[in-house]
Amino acid sequence: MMLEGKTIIVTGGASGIGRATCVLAAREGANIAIADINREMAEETADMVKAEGKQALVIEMDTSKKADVQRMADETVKTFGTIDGLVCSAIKLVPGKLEELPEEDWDMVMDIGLKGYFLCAQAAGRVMLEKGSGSVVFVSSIGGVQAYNGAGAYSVCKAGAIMLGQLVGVEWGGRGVRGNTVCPGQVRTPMTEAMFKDPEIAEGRAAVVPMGRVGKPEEIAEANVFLLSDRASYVNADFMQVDGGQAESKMMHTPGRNWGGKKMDYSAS
Amino acid sequence: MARFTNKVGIITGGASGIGKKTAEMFVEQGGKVLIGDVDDAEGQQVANEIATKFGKENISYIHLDVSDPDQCQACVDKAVSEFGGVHCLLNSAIKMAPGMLKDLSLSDWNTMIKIGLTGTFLMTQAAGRWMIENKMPGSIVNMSSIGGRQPYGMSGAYSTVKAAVIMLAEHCGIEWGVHQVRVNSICAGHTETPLTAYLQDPEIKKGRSEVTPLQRVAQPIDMANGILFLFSDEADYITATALDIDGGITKSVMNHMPGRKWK
Repeated sequence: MMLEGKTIIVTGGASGIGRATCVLAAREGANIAIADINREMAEETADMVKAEGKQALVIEMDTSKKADVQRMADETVKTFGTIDGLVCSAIKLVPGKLEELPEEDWDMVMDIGLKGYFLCAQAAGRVMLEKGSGSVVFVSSIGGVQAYNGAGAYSVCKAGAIMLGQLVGVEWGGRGVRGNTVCPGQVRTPMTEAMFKDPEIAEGRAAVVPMGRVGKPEEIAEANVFLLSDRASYVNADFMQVDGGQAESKMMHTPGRNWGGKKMDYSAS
Repeated sequence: MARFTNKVGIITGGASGIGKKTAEMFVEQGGKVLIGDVDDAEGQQVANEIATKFGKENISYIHLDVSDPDQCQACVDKAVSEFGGVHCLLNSAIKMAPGMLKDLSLSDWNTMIKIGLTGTFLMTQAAGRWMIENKMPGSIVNMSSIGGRQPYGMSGAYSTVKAAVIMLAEHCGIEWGVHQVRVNSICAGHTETPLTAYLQDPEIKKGRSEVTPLQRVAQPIDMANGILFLFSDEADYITATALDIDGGITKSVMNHMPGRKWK
């Protein structure tokens, strides 16, 4: 097992990618601290962790509040004795066009998705630095490498998360704590479900991915668990796109590619 | 004094499109240009036009197959003997050989690698050697493409070549910085040139405009403006980097997701 005997904190662990990460990390042998603002759903995740035969601790908290974050680290250490890894995935989607975006919407996304990542990394990082080993994994997005228009502060927040992950890796790597970031593409989760309700839109969203489908939370969890584990012991300050190729697919959307009179499309091969 | 007074530029692939426009503007702004191309009729024609407009002492033409090191050396020698040196080089020669990778022939692969990548290296080396040996600060620009930033499906070796010339410029840039020879790339978006004749189809042109954040395809002058900036002393501290002149297209992947109604 990849995470035998380890203690992992997952923020945003009540649903979606966070939940799938909790379950997979438990299956790989870790006890899980599930940190989320939604206690009810976090308890459901806890049941799923327990069903894997591991212990679960639910911490109801707001990642943008420093006191909550410190309590998260303290309760985890009190319950499990230490912290071996942290996955940050808590985020709130507040879409909007830049020219209309209210300041409070900007602040909310940045507070949860960027300041929250920093606070959690700092609180859990201090414990891991103390013992000289650990792994921090940030869930960013391909929206962190490609401008996601209409998504309010989301892209800027996610780009910041990539850099923060690199910074963690560079500042702490020499002291045994690795920092990395995963950039999921489109993933069907409770948070994104509304985007896929219309079957025509769901089909269109699958079609813009080179692999022809959107991702599953479990597929992102695999990347998170790999980076948490000792199998990634030399992977540091990196970001990994888990997106079916979408972030590099811009040129798929070029109309009229019939160069040299040769009519071509991908399906022809 | 004009922007490129006493400056000599070599422009490969200068018989048409971006190379031609850059040649015209370089001379217009006070410099001298040697155009190299494999299309002698077009190349000579361009040289004649520029000579008529801006004086025949400022423009010359040479037959140049950039994949031949002797011809690259002869090109640099001609710039030195006719104009007294070489200060700027634009590597814009390319030959398209599109195809799906599964079916791409070795000869199509080799064609594009030879002209687009090896040719860029050979010309850069020939011009760079002269600059370094003569302690002459210089500026070299490689034409890359949005296809060097994002994989351009069905383009054969094109994307691989265009990504490679970005790295080649960066690599030369760090090796030659100490000699004050700057080396950079331009990543062009959809640009209307003879090479991209398909843009004459109004439907294709409209479609490609619509996928570009600035809502239009580029004209050669858009690229020439960037190239001349990198050639000029205004870009004195710029080396080993790449400038995207693409109307924002490279960063617009997420534009293609349908149904972004999140509430």
